[in-house]
Amino acid sequence: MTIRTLVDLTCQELVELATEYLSHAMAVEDRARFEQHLLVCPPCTAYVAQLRATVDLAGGLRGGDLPPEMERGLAELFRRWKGE
Amino acid sequence: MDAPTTDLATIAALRAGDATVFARVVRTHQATFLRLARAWVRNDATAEEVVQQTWLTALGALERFEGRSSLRTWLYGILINVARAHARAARREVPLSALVTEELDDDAPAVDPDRFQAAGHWAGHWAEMPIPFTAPDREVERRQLRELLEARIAELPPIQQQVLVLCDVEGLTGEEACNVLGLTGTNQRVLLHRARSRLRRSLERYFAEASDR
Repeated sequence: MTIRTLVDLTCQELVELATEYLSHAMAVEDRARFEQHLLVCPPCTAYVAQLRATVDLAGGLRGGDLPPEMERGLAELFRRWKGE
Repeated sequence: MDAPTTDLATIAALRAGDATVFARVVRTHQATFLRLARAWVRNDATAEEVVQQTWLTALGALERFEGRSSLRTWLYGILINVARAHARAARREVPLSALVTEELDDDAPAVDPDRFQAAGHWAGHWAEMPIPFTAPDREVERRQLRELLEARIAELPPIQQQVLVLCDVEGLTGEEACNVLGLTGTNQRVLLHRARSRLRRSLERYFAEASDR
């Protein structure tokens, strides 16, 4: 069972599909094949975890400080717009 | 997707000239505005001009905001148009669709082929276990990692950069990102995967070196 499932979808093929998988954009049967592969393949499980970690680390960049002079400049821009 | 009611309340407050609401909206979107602008213009001063002009354009168009998209996808769409107009002044105009095609055609594999077994029964399977990415404990290392990510994101091709910023940094849905950038769902996911794959490769090098230290 193990070999048969793995051979249906090689690791090299799986890594190309990982964003489709994480986006829940796969057809049901493709998703099942992908998940069956993960069940028996620790390296691909580690790879998908890496990709999830990549997404999470990118999400950690969200926000960030705004230069105060820029914030003041935009407040001024809004006042002028309102005054028109 | 229609705008949520909070967006409509925000729009009403802006139209009424509420400076506090404007300051809040600015703070919410500023970092993403700058990130998206930097995909098109090369220096921070120009990126700031793009942001200023985006707000002027958006405020001028507020009356026409019909709530058929969320406020942020509407704003990001305006920003990208303004940023591209700035970029056009500096270089020959390249239509967005041509950039998309170019980035789709350049189909580098997600993972270096050397990482897989080349022959035998297990051809196409991992040669070695991928290493785990563990967020560092020390603040100095966390900052280093953020700087690395910011730099690698800034080096991505423009469409991939914007798809990644919108989806993974800002947390937009794939559908929202498609609306902002005018992409099909399939192309959005292909380009997002390219962008993530590049970052993943950089992170793998970073964590491998970190574990050697």
